[in-house]
Amino acid sequence: MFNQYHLIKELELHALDLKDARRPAGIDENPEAEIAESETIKDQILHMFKTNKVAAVSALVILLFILMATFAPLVAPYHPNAQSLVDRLQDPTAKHWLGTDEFGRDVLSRMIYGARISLLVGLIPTTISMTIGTLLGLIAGYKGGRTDYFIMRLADVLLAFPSLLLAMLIAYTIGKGLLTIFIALSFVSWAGTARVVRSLTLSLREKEYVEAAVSVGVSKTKIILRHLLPNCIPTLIILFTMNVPGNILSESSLSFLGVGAQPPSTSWGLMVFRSKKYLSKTPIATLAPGVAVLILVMAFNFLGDALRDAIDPYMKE
Amino acid sequence: MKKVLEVKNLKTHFFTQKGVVPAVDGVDIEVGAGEVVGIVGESGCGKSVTAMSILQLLQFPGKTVDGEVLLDGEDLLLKSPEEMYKYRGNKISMIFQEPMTSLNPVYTVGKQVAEILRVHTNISKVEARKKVIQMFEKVGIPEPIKRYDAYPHQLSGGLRQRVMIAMAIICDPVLMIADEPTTALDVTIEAQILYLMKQLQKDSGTSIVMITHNLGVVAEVCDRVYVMYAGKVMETTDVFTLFENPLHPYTSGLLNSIPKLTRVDEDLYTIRGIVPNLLNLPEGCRFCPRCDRAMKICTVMEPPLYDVGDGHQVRCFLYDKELMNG
Amino acid sequence: MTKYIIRRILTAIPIMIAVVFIIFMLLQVLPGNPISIMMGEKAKPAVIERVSRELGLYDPVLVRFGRYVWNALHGDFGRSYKLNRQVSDLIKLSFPNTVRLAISASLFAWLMGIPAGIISAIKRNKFVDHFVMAIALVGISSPVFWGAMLLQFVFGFKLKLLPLSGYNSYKHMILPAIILGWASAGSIARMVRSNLLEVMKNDYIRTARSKGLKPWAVVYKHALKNSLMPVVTLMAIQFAGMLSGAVITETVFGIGGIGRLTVDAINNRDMPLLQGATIFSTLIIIIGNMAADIMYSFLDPRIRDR
Repeated sequence: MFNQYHLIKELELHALDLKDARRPAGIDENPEAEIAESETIKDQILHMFKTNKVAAVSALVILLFILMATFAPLVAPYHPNAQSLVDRLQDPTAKHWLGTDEFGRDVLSRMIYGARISLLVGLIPTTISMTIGTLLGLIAGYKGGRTDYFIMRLADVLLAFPSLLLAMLIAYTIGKGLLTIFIALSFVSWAGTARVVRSLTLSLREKEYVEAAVSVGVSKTKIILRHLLPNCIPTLIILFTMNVPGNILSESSLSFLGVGAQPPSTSWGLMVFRSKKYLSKTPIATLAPGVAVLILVMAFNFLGDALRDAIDPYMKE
Repeated sequence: MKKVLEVKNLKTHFFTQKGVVPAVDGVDIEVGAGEVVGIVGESGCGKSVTAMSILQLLQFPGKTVDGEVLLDGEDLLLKSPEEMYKYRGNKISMIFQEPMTSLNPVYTVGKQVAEILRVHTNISKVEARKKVIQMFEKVGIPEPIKRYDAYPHQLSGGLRQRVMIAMAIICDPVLMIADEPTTALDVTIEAQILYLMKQLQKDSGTSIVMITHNLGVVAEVCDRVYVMYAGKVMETTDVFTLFENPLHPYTSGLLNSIPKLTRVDEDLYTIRGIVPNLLNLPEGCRFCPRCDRAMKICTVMEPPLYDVGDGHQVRCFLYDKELMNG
Repeated sequence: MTKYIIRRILTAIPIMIAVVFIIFMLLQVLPGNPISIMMGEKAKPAVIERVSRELGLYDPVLVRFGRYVWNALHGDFGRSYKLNRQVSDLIKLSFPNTVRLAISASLFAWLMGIPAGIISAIKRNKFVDHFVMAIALVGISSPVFWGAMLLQFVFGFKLKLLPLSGYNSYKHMILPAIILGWASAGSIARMVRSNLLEVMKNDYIRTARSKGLKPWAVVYKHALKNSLMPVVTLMAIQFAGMLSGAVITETVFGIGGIGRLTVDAINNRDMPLLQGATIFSTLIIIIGNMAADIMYSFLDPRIRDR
């Protein structure tokens, strides 16, 4: 379903462009320029928030979701699992702003708690898989040879799976549940990051300042940490903002299919799944959790696009 | 001599976020029929922008804000976009610096040359093909029939530039603008291409504007030269006078910085300093901060172009008779 | 060229083998005897024991893997526990529905995505551009299950224009095709736009303009072909993705395709069916990615000569 093959290819090509980048006129070939770029990345991001309204609003939305998730018990009008059979299957009322589900639980309260799941599933597995991917990509790109070949073939194999399918298989093997989703998303989607970081490393390795560092005997670890990793950071930030919404969508989809979070979890996908037979009766209560997914994912995507424009020197005019 | 092109007081500015960049700031250029005119200067002096302004190919944020571009007496700047399409490639053609990237990689070179014929004339496909192959032969492309169906990447840099030249002359333009046509090529190929252009120019009588930073190229092909610096013409004269008797300190600086075999004992001359930032130009003469012969007046007033006879003009107070004698 | 294609095919083969092996292993490490699941709780242990032995479930994993691949190559993917039919027959029955859905969704995506991207690029930074790009972003951001149910509600329940689910007529295909195609239309439009803008910066575009071509001709003749080449790759990959089973769309709209088959297999703990269906889907993806690369090499004369 979410086949990232083309996106990864595109970023890889960008990385290769670095190698013989034709710099825009007026910018001198300056070996310090690369380092300077990653140092001012903070400024670039700050500048983006100041000039780009969409980015600022998106960041604000994400911040709101985070606050809402953190302080869910304070924000939510009801306990997420408080049942009230008298009030079951209602469309919005003054008492229940977004209606109630089949057990009379307040949909809005459950959605507020659900933000925790979506945010965690967006952030944690993405961080884990990207750490793995970055490490393997750096090693593959810097070491080359057999190590490179082995890591990359492994990545190819993982990329061949439609990501939902592999998660479903893992769910079948180790059992359904949120933890399964976390594990599946953490250890499956590193392949894309690894490929991009590897091609970046390959092109950076040939830069003069890296060659200079090698020639004066700087240790490999130091070269990787001091010279290669910092230059990967802009790309990694872009990849991160691309992966987070992907993972949020994956979790909600898997939970919707019944192979993710299990009742009485407040996962947004699961909420829609559980109440889908009542679509005609309580459409708003049924569809509301999906809107939450949409808004959160959109905010991340808008932010990702803005970051990409702000950071990626090769996407700029 | 009949004037083919007259550029009068051309001003092209770039409206960037940091401010207005006056890339071309009041340039006058004349090109006579059958003449080869050089525009020389360092990169960023506005010579390419001048060329793009003549064809009105500039896109946002660049805009020609003032001046006239007269081709055979008609002001191109007053033409509608629709009318301009008929001029580009037809009456004025252009050759670019990078033969590697100036051709579309997904079409055969023959098709790309034929396209220009199909745009400007009512020629059939078969006829166009014939004519392109003839033209390929004329510009010295070996095996022209085979090359017609070649893709750009299958040709060498020199051959690609010959294709570009074929494209530039196939519609018999009155003026051809060549923007650094040989900069990306090997020295031996460069000589061949320059020779070819000179030959073609003699045969067809097309006028050429040759934009270059290479004074060797100027000496090779040009009749007359404009020396540009920071968006302005600093000196203009015929090519012999330029090399024999350069008047502007900038021109002599340029000439002195060419390595010469006869002067092995001396250090190579370089003009000190760097090209000024067009966003905040120095007051007075633009070259003043780098000039060895700068005077007080140079820092406060911009010198006009002084006519020193025989069409030799120079923008420098050293040639103001009253100032220097009085 | 031929060399490139052969090399590309050869690199796909080990990946296919690895993928099949991983799927096989993932499903074989499962605790519990699949035969007891198949025969239900009332089955006698002795019978389970005998059947398991007959089916060779006690052989070493590698032997079983070899046997599975050997049989699979002969078109035998085993029998479904739950439905008691040949897995290959079930796939054969489901695949046409998935193909029909994939074709209609792709057509929708291409017809919407490509023009939208072109318009956006030409009207860059104008209102139309922002509008089209916002819709595209909603497309790639909306959860498919949500979009599907929204369409069901609006067009099925409220307007009663289109059938809610099933797959008997072209009318049944409209909603699923729209929802499945929307996301891919969004990504196609975004890619067309960014590629077109990128290509327009090239020197040969300047050449084309200097030849006296009109703006639309510059875009149409010189920029479009170059910028669509990577998009064709994207479209091929997306098409392969849809062919491998649109799990959610098929589930919501009750279309009996490969994706539905997979989900049902998981929920019924039907191991042979799950194994067969996932292997089938994954092979389609691998072949699709391979086809996309090869197609790209056909389109780009620079790669063609390699």
